[in-house]
Amino acid sequence: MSRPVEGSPPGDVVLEGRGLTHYFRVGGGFFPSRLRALCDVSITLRRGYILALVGESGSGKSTVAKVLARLVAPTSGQVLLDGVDVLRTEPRRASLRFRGRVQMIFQDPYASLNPAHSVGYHLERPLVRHQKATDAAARRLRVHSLLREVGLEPPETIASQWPAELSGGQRQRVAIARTLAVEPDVLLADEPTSMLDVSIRAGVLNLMRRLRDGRGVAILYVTHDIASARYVSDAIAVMYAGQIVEQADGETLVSEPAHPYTRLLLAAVPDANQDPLPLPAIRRGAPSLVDPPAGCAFAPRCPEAVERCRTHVPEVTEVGLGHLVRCHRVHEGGWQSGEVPDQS
Amino acid sequence: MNEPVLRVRDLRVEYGTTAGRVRAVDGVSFEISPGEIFGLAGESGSGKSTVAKALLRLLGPPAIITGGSVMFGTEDVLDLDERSLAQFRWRRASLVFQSAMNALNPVMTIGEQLTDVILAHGGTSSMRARQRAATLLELVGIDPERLKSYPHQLSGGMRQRVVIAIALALDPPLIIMDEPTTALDVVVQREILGQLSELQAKQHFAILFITHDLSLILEFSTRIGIMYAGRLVEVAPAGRIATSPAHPYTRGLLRSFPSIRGPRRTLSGIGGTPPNMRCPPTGCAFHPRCSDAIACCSSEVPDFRSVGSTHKAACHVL
Repeated sequence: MSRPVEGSPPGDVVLEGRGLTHYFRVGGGFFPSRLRALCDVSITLRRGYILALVGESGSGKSTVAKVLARLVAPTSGQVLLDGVDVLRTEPRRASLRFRGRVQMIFQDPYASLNPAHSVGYHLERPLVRHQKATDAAARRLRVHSLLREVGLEPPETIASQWPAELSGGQRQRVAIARTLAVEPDVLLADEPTSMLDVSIRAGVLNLMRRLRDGRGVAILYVTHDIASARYVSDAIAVMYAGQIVEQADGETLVSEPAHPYTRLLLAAVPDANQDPLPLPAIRRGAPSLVDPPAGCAFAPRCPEAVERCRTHVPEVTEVGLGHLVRCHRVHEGGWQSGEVPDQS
Repeated sequence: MNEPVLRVRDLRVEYGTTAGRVRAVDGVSFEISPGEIFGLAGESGSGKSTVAKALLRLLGPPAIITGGSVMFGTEDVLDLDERSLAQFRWRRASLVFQSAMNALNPVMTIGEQLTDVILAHGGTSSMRARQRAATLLELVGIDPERLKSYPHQLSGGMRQRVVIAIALALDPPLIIMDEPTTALDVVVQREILGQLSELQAKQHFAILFITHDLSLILEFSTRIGIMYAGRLVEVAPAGRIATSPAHPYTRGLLRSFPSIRGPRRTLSGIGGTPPNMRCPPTGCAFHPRCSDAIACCSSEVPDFRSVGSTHKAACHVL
């Protein structure tokens, strides 16, 4: 969000995105249009801290991860590593040093490993490239310890196997081990569990918690699953139509959501342990990002929208300790926090 | 109790592969009563979608139905010839699958596709079919004006609703839904399932609801079957599955899901990996991952045992 979080959790800031805005070009020919994927997104990743980024498909959450990983150059905004704007210091592409500190895990472990190389090769490459282990014997030892760290045993066997011989969960662990090979300070995990079987997911989520606690890695966990976000993360940021609309620690976000969209999202999550909350009767879908609404992007669907919501983009307000909300109505106390708004 | 709409007995399906035959569905039996929502849950590869397709005989080579019966009333679907099969599908049981929204024909309007189904099976006039199409769209919460739209003009959620409308077109007593909302966002998923429950309460069709998402199935279905490695391992009312699961696999599944409310428990998940169906484990297929396993688990396949009047599980250690 656009200002630093006060009194927030421990850990120094490692990687930060400031005022990130990104437009994608859509449609070819002479009159391409522009799709607003990100609009003034600010995000802070701290040592030993997991920030979850949740949102519907198309909300821009993966684009945030890609911009921070420098796979996508933002239209405007800054990406700061240790306070230095890397878009300025290394404008053309990310340096080896940057990539040694910031690593990304992708959604599909079936696509992110090369079928023609063994598991061991996948893990040795970054060790050579980043000069983490120079002689072959040291590399092999390092590969084995990496495999053990992500729970792949016995490492001697796994290292000589091909990606095709592994299950999805094992492949995702290999992909994670590969990012750990360079001993990064930041992991950007884009839906790391959504392709995995349910019984395997808990293992990957627990692995992320272990990395945070053991190595003090700063993690951005991008997901559409708010329940798993609450499970692994220290704080959750909710994205809607290219903006972060609310951010708070997991418990606060779930028990006292302040933004109407967050409340809609929470009411929609299936929950076996409780009768479903009434869902506000909202029929309209997400707004067009090619021609975004003038005011708050959620205003067309928001049961509480007033005139100002349709004309002015709301600023970020801090409503509690580290609890940030982008909504006009929080100033007015127009509703009780935690209550599900009803359209009638 | 009413006569069940569907009674599946000892269904077996195999896939022919270069490495020999793979038994995808192995002796599955269950029944569905009128107006019931029966949920079938399991991980990928557990055979739940193969069951769905076998019920309508939509499986082509290399899949072969090698045994069992699928009774709709007094008819066994597995005995029907092609013509009666065409009559049976859509009228007696329809199917909505995960990527169904991409199955709509891109060069036909929504209206044409709806009336097409009604006319093909119906024997009504095209005028009446168009009226029926408009009613169906309203039922699933879409403006009948949209009959003139092409699929690309609708969002994913709306397209999936159109497919549900098509499935409802001939008032079948059973609708099979295979991961109907998996590709959709949670808010849209909630809307569609909400509408579906309302419709179901009004029109009393039964639903066979298949998904890997246990929290969704627990909330939406009345009775649940849990599948593992081609077999049903537990069948019970949804409430019983949630509160007193009997099979170790079901218990493990419930420990794999974070909840959005309540205390934050540590998830243990299930150790090991799902079985390779080319060479499934002997005995109970779950035994290599099961912490409760005893000697006979690796040699004998467990039969169903009653854990209550409506609750049964296939496990040696009950």
